[in-house]
Amino acid sequence: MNPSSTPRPAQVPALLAETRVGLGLSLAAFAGLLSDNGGTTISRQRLSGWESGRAVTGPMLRIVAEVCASLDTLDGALRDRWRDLLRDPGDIEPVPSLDPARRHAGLLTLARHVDRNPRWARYRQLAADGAMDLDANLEETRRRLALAPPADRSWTMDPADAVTIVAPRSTLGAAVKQGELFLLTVTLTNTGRVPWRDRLLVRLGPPVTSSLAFTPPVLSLPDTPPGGDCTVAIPGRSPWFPNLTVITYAMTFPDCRPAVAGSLQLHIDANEERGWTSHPLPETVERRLRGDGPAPIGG
Amino acid sequence: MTDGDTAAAASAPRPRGRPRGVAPLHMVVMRELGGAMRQIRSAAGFESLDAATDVLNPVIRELYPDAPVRQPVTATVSQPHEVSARYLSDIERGNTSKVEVPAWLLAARHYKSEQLRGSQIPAWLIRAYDVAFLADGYLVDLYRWAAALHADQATTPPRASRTRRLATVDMAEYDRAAAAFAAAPPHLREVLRANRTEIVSCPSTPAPGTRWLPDARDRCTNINPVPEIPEGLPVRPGAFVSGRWILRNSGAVAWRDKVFIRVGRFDAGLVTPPFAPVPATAPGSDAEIFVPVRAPDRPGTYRLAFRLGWPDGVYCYPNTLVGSVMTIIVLPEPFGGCEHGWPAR
Repeated sequence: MNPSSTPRPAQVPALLAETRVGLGLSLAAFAGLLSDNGGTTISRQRLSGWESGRAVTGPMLRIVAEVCASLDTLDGALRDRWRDLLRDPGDIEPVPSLDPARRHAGLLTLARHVDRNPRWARYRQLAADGAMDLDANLEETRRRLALAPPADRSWTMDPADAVTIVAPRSTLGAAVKQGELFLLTVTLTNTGRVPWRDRLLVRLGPPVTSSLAFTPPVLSLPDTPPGGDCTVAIPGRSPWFPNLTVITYAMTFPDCRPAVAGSLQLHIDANEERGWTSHPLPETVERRLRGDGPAPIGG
Repeated sequence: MTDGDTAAAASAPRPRGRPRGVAPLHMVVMRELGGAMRQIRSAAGFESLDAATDVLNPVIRELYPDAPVRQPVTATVSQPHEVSARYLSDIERGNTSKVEVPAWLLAARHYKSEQLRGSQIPAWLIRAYDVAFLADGYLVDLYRWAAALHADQATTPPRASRTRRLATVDMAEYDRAAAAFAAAPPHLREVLRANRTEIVSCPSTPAPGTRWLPDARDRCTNINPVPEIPEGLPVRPGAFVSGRWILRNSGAVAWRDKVFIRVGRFDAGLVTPPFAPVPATAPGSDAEIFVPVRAPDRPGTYRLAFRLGWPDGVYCYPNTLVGSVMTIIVLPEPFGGCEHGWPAR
């Protein structure tokens, strides 16, 4: 489907009018048809208001759209337009894509505030257990994000740059309970021919969701010469949902453009219970849904 | 770090301050969305609502240059405006512009008022949160899910919209969605074909003497298989992923005639067929469900949700908001290649 063809609520007045004309009905007759098929009373005056541009909101719009989409006597193209409307009750424009400049501006703001995360003190403590000063790392991150691009091409990805994870000295995953704190430590070797200076680890995707673990959205990586190693500690909190989650960090320059191909992928398994169960259905709700329950309370 | 270390860290003293009570289980989907907004805001370090307004208002001005500085007295929820800390608090906690509670939920004295409370959350504010707190499009996609489920929950019994009712649309919608998988690997196209064969045989009405209505004795447990597709999998735009879920019939009612129904749009965001077949499953047994998924071309973070229902669209577990989910991160062009992990030695 061409997204631009999807009708929006603002286009409903015209669609209603075209539908009524297409059916050859008066306002009163169309209102009667909608009422009879929609299971609710829609007056001629109300319909007239909608055709004139008054907003049709929420469940009422859905009732009208469902009735119109199911009318065998209506032209197929008009029915499709009503179907399209039903497909998209959540009419919302996408957000601007995170290009490097927008990501950089956003991370700069987050780096100034992320230590006010209510669990930051515990993340600080965990990072200290991993021999890293989280606040110092954050301060260095802020400094790097504020750097102006250099005159030379040192902030350009170089095919001679390479990274390898030192697996025996890294914890690339953890099995924890839901909502539990964790600490991962990663040791990287600069296996290329380019010295790492002012590099950042930038997390891809949101910093947290109910099914994704929280970790800092950006960390600074110690400067490391070719052949050298560096270690970074990554504290976090497992997601609320019991599942396996992957956390992806890219290595970038201070302008948030990628410096090395590939990514650091860390796995948090908060799936100890191996599943979760649907909530119990209260008996009163069950009876109501089956048509033999009590009348709604207060509504 | 050992498991013991993790446990010790978890039992460390909490930061000072008022301890949080156990969060109530939300019954209204817009309250769940408000919770997601709060979670991302807080994780980004904007626990203070005043600090949040300091970053949100410039974003609102950027996204909506004509937005007034103050909320107009006659404003509707669809009109963008700059926000105050009080406004954000009310929106997130469901204290303002209340959404109508579905009549079937009001039938139960079981739920407390705070569980039934939810605000009309404006799309423009969701977009502003998404940009300000670097949610990577996740909140926008979650809004689409919430708006669709909110509409679905409004009917008695709650049911998927007409375009997602197998008994109503027959296979037209399925075939339309399947066209997006023309370039998919053969094994995924085979899954589509096999699913179609099974779905075609689904009845359009219940067998005599039975009803397609929720039953308190019917329960479902999402079993997350390991290894699985992890939440947050990074992929290239347009990539194909094999979705697999295992659902255990943990109740006392045999499953028959059930279908796996996509909540909200199935042809936007992560593209899937609108439904997948669910094999007949006895209590205590597992049903394995396969669904091909196509990542969108637009970078961002997307989450899909499927729920169990019947061919007429009625949901089996109406008071469980979240069903079976999958979250995928579609990588922007500069980060193409980040779907591969670094080598280890």
